[in-house]
Amino acid sequence: MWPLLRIELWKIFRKPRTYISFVAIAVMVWLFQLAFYADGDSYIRFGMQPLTGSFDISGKIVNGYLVCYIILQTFLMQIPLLIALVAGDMIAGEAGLGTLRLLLTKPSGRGELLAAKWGATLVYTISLLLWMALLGLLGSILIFGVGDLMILRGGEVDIHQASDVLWRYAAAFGFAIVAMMTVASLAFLLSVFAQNAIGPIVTTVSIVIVATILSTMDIPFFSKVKPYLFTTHMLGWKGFFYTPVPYKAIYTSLCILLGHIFLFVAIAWWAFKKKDILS
Amino acid sequence: MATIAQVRRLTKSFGSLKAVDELSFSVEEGDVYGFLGQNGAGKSTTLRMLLSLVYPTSGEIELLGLNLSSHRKAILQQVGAVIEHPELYPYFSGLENLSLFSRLSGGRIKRKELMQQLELVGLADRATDKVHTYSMGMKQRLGIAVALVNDPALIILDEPTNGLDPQGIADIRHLILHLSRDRNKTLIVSSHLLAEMQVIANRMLIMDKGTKVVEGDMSALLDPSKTIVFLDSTNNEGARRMLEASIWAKALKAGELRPNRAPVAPDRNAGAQNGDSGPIALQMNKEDIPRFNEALVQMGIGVISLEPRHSLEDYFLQLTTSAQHVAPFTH
Repeated sequence: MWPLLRIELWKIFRKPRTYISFVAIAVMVWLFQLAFYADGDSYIRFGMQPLTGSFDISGKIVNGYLVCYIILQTFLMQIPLLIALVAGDMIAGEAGLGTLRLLLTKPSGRGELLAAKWGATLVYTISLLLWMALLGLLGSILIFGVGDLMILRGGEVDIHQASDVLWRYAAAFGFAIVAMMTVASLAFLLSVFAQNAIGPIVTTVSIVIVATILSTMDIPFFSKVKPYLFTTHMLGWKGFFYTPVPYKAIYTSLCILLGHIFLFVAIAWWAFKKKDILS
Repeated sequence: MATIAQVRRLTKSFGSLKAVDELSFSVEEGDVYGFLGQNGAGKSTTLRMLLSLVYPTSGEIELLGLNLSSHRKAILQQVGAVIEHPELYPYFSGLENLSLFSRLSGGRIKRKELMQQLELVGLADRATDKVHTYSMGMKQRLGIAVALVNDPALIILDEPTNGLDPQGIADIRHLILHLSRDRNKTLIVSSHLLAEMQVIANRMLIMDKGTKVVEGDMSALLDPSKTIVFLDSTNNEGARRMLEASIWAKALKAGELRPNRAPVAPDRNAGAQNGDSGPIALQMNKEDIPRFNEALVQMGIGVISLEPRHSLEDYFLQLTTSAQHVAPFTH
């Protein structure tokens, strides 16, 4: 299993396509930071407009913690596309390239190969989020410094002291890994049924978009479905920045996301074990 | 000599299509076993079933004395294969690809040994070049190196010369012969080219529409004493009557009773519609053909053509003509 995982990681990180995601995240984060560095105060003043009637806000609000929070909020719904780019390629890409049949003529079992590929997808997803954390959090702290984190939630304001913020980010990134692995597992599952990578990548992104729309629309017709959609729970990381932290809701979201991961991987495993390799 | 592969009543259906139907054959140690058949005959599906890439609908496969369904891992440790074009990772070099597949085969082979494998297939000087810079023939040879990387007892090559230029075909042919003669490997090789199989295989199975047409030793299939001679004359019906009454009657009977009778193309059947029977098939020793020709002249038979064909060609043309309706006797 470990040699297989190492081989899969070697393949992922030697493939130029893999680095598109890392470059894309770097460019997005740097552009965001540049914009904030140039005119962040105007943006914050605009965002705080609903509160200025009731509160007298003074002092330096823009700091590394706030910029990172806004980066996470803005990008975590776009990251699935980058995750799908690699996860959707894991099986279908090999089938399209013609290497899948060569891989499966070797002694390792199909289950082992699938587990190694999923493990490699997990490592890639974690790497991508760590990269985002490095640039988004560490980079923002270096550029903007640290300070109390003030965030808006509806009409309410949550304020956290600077010393009380880092653990929230650690927890939020941990949650984001589970959320992104749900998307990765979906792309991975679709990859088992396809002969080239484009299909699973586009289908995964389409499913995420449709499910996100369903999750955010306040239409009673969809209200029974919404609690079970993984997209409803993908932004559960925000809970770590609320006061008090809604642990029960976060736990429920985690369970639903992990349930989705288990379901997607189980179906992928079953289908791959039974599949005739004709590519 | 040990039996390396024993296949019994192997069947694979895709929906209502039977790609392989009740196929049985055996491969002995040291054989270069040729699978010959048209595209779509079921060769690749059969080879994929031997490698567990495709699961049989029914039937049994025993490789190296073990049942494939229950000993897949143990068997594949001793099998090397190239199925169709060996597409490798284009962003890796030849050496890196070989190293990767050697580790997948369960061992970590030293660079020196990997280089020896590349030398065997003539790629040592391109070892560190990325595979996307390789020609098709080089990829094919690298694929064979990948198949050989775990020093397998059985090598399965599916259409190894497909798409190659004449030099590439010759290289692969020499490599197969080298593996068989100098390294005592057992090989199962599929092709749709009769000439290629004649050169490399010592035993052969001809397939058509998923079923076995014939299986046997190449020496028997190419036996000159069983050469089929097709006679086309100005009056085939009259010629047939004369031959029945001559010393060639036995050859005529053997030709007509041969198990594999190639159909006569429509244009050559024109005579048959006018009461003529079309070309006449006789089975005789190849050395007797000149004497037979003289006899025809002496009998006053107006010979249009005499076409000798060994039984293997006859079997194969049976497939090609039935599949494509190409005239087997055109000059």
